[in-house]
Amino acid sequence: MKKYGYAPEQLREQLSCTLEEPEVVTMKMKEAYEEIRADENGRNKKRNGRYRQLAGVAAAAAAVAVIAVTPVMAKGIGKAWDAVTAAIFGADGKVQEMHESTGLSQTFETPQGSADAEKNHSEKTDVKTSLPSQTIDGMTVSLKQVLTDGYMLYLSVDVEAPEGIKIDESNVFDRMELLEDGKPCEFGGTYGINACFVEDEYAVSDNHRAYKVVCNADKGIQLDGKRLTLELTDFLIDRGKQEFETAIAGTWALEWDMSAAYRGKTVTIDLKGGKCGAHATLKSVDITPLSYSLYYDYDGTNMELFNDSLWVEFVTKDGRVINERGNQDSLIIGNGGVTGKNQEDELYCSRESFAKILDLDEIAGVRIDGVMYPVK
Amino acid sequence: MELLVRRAMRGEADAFIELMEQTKPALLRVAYGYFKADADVADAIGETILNAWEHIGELRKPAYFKTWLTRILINNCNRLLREARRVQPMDELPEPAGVWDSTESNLEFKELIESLPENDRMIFVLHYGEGFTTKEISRTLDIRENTVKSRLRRGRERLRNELLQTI
Repeated sequence: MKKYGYAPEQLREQLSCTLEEPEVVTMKMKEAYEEIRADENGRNKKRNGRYRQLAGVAAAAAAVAVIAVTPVMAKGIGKAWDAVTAAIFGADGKVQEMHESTGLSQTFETPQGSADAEKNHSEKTDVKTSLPSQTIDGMTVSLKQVLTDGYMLYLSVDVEAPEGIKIDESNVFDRMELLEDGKPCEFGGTYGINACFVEDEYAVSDNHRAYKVVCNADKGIQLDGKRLTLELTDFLIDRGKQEFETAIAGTWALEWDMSAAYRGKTVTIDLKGGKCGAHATLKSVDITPLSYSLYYDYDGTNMELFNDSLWVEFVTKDGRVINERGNQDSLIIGNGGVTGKNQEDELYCSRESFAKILDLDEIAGVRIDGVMYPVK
Repeated sequence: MELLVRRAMRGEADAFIELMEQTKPALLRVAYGYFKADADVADAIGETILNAWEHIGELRKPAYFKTWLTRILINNCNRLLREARRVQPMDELPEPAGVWDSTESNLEFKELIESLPENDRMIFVLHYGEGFTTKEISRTLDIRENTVKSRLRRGRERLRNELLQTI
C-alpha cells in the first residue's frame, strides 16, 4: 500500500514536510552566499565588522541621554509639518481635522516658551502633553504625532541633526523598538515594525526630516492608557560611497502616555455561502480610517480555506469603490493579512490597511455581491 | 520576515542570507518537484539565490517576497530543464532514473511527486506544500485559475483511484 493519501490534510502534511538537505545543496548555497558577501563588499554597502566595532566603541562613549524639550518652532516649520504629516499618512490635510476627541490621533504640543519648557521638564511623569523628545550629540529626535485605529500604529518622528550632517532618504536608525510599560511591544505576524525617512520634497531642510514608523499587528492592539517608549538606536548615514557609518551613536528614547484610542465602525453582515464560499460565514466588517477587518467563521477544512474567495467593496456616498481590486482577491488567506482563529469568539480575521487615511463620513457602506450593507 | 525583506532590499547581505535560510525548506520542496538529482536541485537553488540578490531591489512589496522568489526558482528550473534537453540529443537522453538520488527520509515526498502527472506536480507542491492560493499559483505558473482548480481536483481523484486500486 502506498504511503501517501489523497485527502487535503494528508497532502498538506506530506508536501509541506521538511526535506533533508543534501550536502551538494548546502555547498552550492554557501558558494552563493560567499559571492553575495563579496558583491556587497565590492559595492561598499556592507555594515561590516569594522562598522560594528566602530558602533560598539561609539556606543560606549555616547553621552548620557537627557530628556530635552524642543524649543518653539517657527511657523514656517509648522507649515512644513502639515505637508510632512500629509506625506507620512497620505492625507490631504484631512488628518489635521481629526481631533483628539475621535481618539484616532494624539498630537504632542510644542512648548510655547521657557516657562512651559521648565514645567514640562519638571513634570517628567506626566508626558501626555509634553513633546517626547531627546537630544544626543546635537541630534534631536521628537515624536510629533501618533495615529492608531487599534490595529495599525503610525508614529511621526521629527529628526533634526546638527549642522553639517545631511539626512537622506536612505539613512536609517540601526535598531528600533517599541516598549509597552517597559517591555517589548509584540507586533508579531507578517509586518512588525517598519520605518523610513520621508522623501526629499518633504524635508524641512538638509539636516531636518521626518521619520515615519509603522507598526502593524495581526490582532487588535489596545494601547490606550499604556506608557509607551519608542527607542531608536544609532543613526546611520550613507557617506555617498554606499557605505553606512554611524554618524551619531546612542539610543533616543521617546516616552509618552498613549491616549489615542479609536474604535472602528462595525457593519454586521452575517452572510453565508454564495460569494463567501461554501464554508464561510462573513460575520462582520470593522472599518476605520486606517484599515478594515473581516471577521468570519469557517466550517470547511483548512485547505479548502485557500480556495474560497470573496470580494468586499467599500463604497462612498457618491458611488465610488475605494479599495483597489488587486489588494483583495481572496477574503481568506490574502497576502499575510489573516490571523488564526480567535480563542474568544472563535472567528477568523482578515485585515488590510488602506493606502491613505479615509474619511469615514464619506463611506456609504460595504457591498458584497451587489448587496449594500450600510455603515452607520 | 517583512523587516528582513526590507533590510535585504536595502542591500544588507546578512538579512538576505537569513531570508534565504528561512525559505530554504520551501526552495527544496519546489526544486524537487522538478528534479530528481540533488545536483540539479543545488544548481537551481544556487542560481535562484544569486538572481534574487541581484533583483531584490525591484521587489515592489515585501509581502510578495515568497511568491516572487518562488517564481524565480521555477523559471530557473524550467530553464535548466530546457538547457539539458538542448545540450543532449533526444536519443541520448538518459532514461529517467527509477530511484531518486537522495536520502531515505525524502523518499515519501518524492514518491508522491512521482505519482502525479508532470503538469500537476508544481500545482500540488505550491498549493499543499507552500500554502499558495489558486490565484497565486495561476500568477506564478501563468495558467488560468480555473485550470489550477480543475487540476487539483482531478489530481486528487487520480490519487484516490490509485490508492483504492492498491487496497
